[in-house]
Parts: sequence; structure tokens; C-alpha cells
Amino acid sequence: MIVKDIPLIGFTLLSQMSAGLLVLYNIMVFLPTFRNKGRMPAWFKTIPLTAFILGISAMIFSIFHLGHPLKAAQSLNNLSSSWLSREILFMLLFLFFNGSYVFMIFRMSEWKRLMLVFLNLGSLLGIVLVYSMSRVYTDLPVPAWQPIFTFLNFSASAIATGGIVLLLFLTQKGSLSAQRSLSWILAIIFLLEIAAIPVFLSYLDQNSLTSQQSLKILLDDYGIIFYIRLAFQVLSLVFIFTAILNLKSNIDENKKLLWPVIMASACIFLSEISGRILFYAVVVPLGGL
Amino acid sequence: MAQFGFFIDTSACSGCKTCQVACKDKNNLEPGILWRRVYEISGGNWEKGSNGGWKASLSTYNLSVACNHCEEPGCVEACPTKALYKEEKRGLVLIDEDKCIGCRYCEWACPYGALQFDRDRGIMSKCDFCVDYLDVGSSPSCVASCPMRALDFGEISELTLKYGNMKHIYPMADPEITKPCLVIKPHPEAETARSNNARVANKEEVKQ
Repeated sequence: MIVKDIPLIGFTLLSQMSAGLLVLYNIMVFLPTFRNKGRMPAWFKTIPLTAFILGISAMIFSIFHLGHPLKAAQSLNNLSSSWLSREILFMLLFLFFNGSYVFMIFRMSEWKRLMLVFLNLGSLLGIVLVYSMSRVYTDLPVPAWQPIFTFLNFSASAIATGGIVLLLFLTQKGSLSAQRSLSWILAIIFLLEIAAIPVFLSYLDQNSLTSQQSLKILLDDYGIIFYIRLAFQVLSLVFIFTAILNLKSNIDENKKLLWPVIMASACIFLSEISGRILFYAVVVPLGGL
Repeated sequence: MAQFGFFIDTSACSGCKTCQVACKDKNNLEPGILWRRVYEISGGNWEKGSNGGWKASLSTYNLSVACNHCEEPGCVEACPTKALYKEEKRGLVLIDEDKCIGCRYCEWACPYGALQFDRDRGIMSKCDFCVDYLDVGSSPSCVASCPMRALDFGEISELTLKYGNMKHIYPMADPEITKPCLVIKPHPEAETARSNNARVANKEEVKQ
């Protein structure tokens, strides 16, 4: 594992988790199926707060990637052509709207309409952030960072990590229907992630000499991490289906759901971390020079 | 605006790496930083011919590459701080060190490995075409040092008239991506390099 990539792994994963959590929370606020007997419980306030804390943590991680952290503000200087500049801008805007929403639900809860505007804008910026984060990589001459795969990879990470954090919240006091819906969403995401693996490997194998070098790094040099990640992905799926099966029985739902969700969370986080290690490890610039 | 560039005669390059060392010496580069790199491209097979005899089919040559001061440099476009820029006088891609925050994004944006991270200073570094030498009418140190006279420099239009307009040799990236300002005289074995599955053999030496 390359030590210099740790801040980038932390930044991308935490910011995607933050964006995914806020977007799913936003959906939950609007859909009746996610409410507990028709209203949002007071403790749900901690969900956007968690998203905000995750976002701030992501920014802290990103600082450690820089050779000159004190000059970080200069990274906004090239919005006209650099996706990295745009990514940082969207991250700051996302944090602003997320943070403002959190402040309002704790201190200005009577301003309901404005709160919803801030939440919706925050969620929209979360989606834009994930998109811009994928463009940061896909606009480079690195065949392994294929545009569609990279965007889907980042989006799936956002939903999987944000979703599992939300499910952890829901196992405490959330409605059964909400838990069931979210568990199914996560199961579908994990299935799609696993299904995408052979397609991606085939793309690397058939695309170019450079992408074949990336494939070699992935399966030979980092083969252990690749298979560990695959094992964690399968285990995530197993635990999520265990949670879904437990939800079908009627005995003490929350307790029965909690342990498979905790296990699934651990597996997801480990699979996403190992996936991100692989993402940065397979960099071979076009031509291989 | 004038546009300067390099000429590389890969058929003449012996891989002695004098250019690499001269560059390091002139610019006082720390170990691990190579503004000019000599890639050893190598590949081949032991094949049975049509007459039943066996012969070696080899593709081995050296490729000396620095910054190509591209017409459409991906590093300049990607740099979030505008520290990288294309200067007016000779069309060189240079770094404003005060603006560089050391994010290393340009490193990925360059398909030629030109951008090198200076760990001690926390910023990126790259070939500046020995612009101080150019100002006093001298050649860049790599060009001046080459014992095989495999390197040359000048305005790209003049280089093209002198040496032709070949801008690509295996395994370099497609020149349409960044429009590198260089002219290449290809080594004869470059023709079979792709079919011989030739690769950079000295990765450990040239990769940062």
C-alpha cells in the first residue's frame, strides 16, 4: 500500500459516505415509508450532523495530502479548467448547506421551509460532489480510471457507505418498513458491485497495453487485496440478506437486525477501503511511461 | 509565440544516461527526481521461422524523455492553483513555485512522467528547458551533454523541417492527447515493439 494515498483514500471515502448519508436522509424525510408512525423522531437530527462530521473529517484528511497545507485555499484558483478546483468548491458548498441545515434543525427549527431548501441543496451538491470527484480522475490519461466505471464505483460507494450508516441509525428506532427498504437497496448495490467486477476486468484486459498493465498490478501485485475485497463484498451481501431474513420474522426486530447490520458495516468499510487502495494502485499513465 | 521543443534520435541513443545525469547535476536534483529519464524499452520472443530454424525477434531501444512542453498540456489544465503555466516567449511549460501546493494532481495528468514531486520542498518540479542557459544562448544541459548527439532542441517548426514530423514512438501516449512539442527519429526496432509486447524494463530506475 502506498502511504501517500492514505489521505486521498480517507478524503474520497469519507466525503462519499457523507454525501450518500445526506442524500438518503433527504429521501427518508420525504418518503412516508421511512417515517416512524408518520413523523420524524427527534433523534433523527443526529443523522445530518453525522454527515456533516464525516464531511469535515474528509476535508481534514485531504489537507494531509498537500505538500503545503497552509496554501490549500489556492486550490480554488483554476475553476475554469481544473476538476480538482471544482471538486473542492463543491465540497465546500456541500459542507456549507449541510452545516447550515444542521445548525437550523438544532437552533432554528421553526424555519421549516428554509431548512428543507438547505437540505435539498445540500443533497444536490452531494450528488454533484460525487460526480465532480469522478471527473477529477476520469479526465486524466489513465485508462484504468474509465469514466463510467469510476462514476458508478464512486456512486455505489456513496450509497453503500452512507446507506449502511443510516441503517445503523434505523436499527435503533427506525420503522420496520424503512429498515426493510434500505436493506434491499443496499443488497442491490452490493450485487451490482460484485457483478461489475468481471466486466471491469474484461475491459482492462481488452482495452490497451496500458490497461493490461493495470490488470496485472490488480491481479498479481495487489492480488491479495483484490481477493480480500471480494470476500468482504460477498460477506456484506450475506449479512445484509441475513438482516432482511431476520426482518421477516416478528420477534424483537431491532435486536435481531442489529448484529448482521454491524457485521455488514464492518465488511462494507473494509471492502471500500481495500477497493480504494486498489483504485490508486492500478494507476498506469497512458503509454506506461 | 515561438514554440520550443526537443528532438530525440532513438536510433542513435545508446542509453548511456549522460543526459539524465547532466540534468540532475545542472539542476541539483535530489535522489529520486529525474527531470529527464531514459526509458529502456524491451521485448521479444524466441521464434521458429518458416524454414524450421529458430531466431530471436527483439525490440530493444532507449527513449530519453523530459517534459515535452506540450501545445495542450494536461498538467496546466489540471493544476488547481494555476501554478503550472505556458510561458509566452518560448511556449515552455513552467511552474510558479510560490503557487504550487504540492497536491500532485499534475503528476497523473502528464502521460510522459514529466512532473516530479520534490519531497523536501513539498512542491512539484519539472524540466524548465534550462531556460537560464537559453537566455545566454547556450543549449539545455541534456542536449549539450549527449555524446551520441541523439538530442537536439529548437523551435519546433525548425526541428520539423530538419528532422521530419514524427511525434510518436511506441509506447508513448497518443500525441493527439496533449500535442507534445517533440520530434522523434524512431529506432528501427520500434516497428516491432508492439507485436513483441515490449515494456519499460527499468521501471524501478525511472519511476518516482
